[in-house]
Amino acid sequence: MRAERGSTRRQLVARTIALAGSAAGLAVLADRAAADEAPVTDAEALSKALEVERLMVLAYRRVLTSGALAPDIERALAPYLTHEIQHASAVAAALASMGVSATSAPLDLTAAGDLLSKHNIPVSLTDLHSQNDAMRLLVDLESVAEGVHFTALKTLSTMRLQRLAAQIMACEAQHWTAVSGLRNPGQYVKAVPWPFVTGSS
Amino acid sequence: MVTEDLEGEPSSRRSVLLAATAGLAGALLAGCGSQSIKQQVHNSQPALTNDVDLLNGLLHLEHVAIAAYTAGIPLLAQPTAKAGQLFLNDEISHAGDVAGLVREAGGKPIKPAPSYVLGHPRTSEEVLMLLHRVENAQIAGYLNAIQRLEPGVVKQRVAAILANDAQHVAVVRAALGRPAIPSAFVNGRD
Repeated sequence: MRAERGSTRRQLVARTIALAGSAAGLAVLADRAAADEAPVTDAEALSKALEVERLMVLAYRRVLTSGALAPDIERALAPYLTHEIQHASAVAAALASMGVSATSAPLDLTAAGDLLSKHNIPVSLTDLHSQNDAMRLLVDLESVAEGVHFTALKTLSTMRLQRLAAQIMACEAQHWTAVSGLRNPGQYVKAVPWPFVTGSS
Repeated sequence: MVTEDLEGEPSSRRSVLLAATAGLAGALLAGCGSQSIKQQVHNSQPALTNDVDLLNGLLHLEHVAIAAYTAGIPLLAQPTAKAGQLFLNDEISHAGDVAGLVREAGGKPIKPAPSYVLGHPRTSEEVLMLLHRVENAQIAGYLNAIQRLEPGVVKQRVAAILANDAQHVAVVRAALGRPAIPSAFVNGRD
């Protein structure tokens, strides 16, 4: 649940620069590095958040219909799908209020697979065989969801959007705790392992 | 029983009052274009003071939480008492971080009061209800602060604490037999 986003991005750029080795490649990477440091608009930050929320909706749906969950676990997790749908709707509405067209529908499987890879989550949403795999996936995704709102809070410019991001981030943290608690009954230290929640990038 | 300290409303009201003061100072400043830099810096102090007061308000809530967990843990049934000890450690970490923010804002962190009025909980359930109010008050306070503090990295530091307190309150609610996560949007009132 701790972020290492800054150094990871720098390391990626540095590694890629070392491999590129051409003037053209260096120019492209310099542009990318500059883009990384460029101010992020509210629409950009919210679009990233919406993409993750749409992934969450798809993931909860796939997990809940996988047949891998015990009935009591399925009942416990079902409300969180509703929460994720509400998060996606709220972020899409915020974008729409800025004149940005946005859908809150779940991501399609291809886009979801790409986003999972981007976040180094090596699980297929079409191949959920065990309850443990399914819940591990949800824990990893809740960390990503925490992280995208945590990152957005650095740049969001209005009080309304800042409050929305903080409220959703806190809810994702609660999901993280609840799912971890279901995986590790009675082990509070695994459900609430850190005093500061920043998510993953 | 503490009421002012735990409900969240008084701190919000205080923040609104301070924000209004800062706004008034800003209006006065805007009307004084010929002021010297020294005068302008002097007149901008209310905004800085507002941040320090806001952060010290959060630190006060942390002190209350530390007192509530310290006093309440011996009354909690197992295994909830283990969670209480864990959460007490978290609150101590939060207090340290918020005190650091107060210093970074140029202020002096308030010290814990000698005692806090926490009521007279006698059972594990009554302690959990107290902790529920304490955690909710913190969540409401942090949500309010996130919208007012600058820059963005400070908002992030505060949000990292808010999210952890949201985890605490989910566990406390579950221990009370209530739905752990009743809303998609954490608000400090559930």
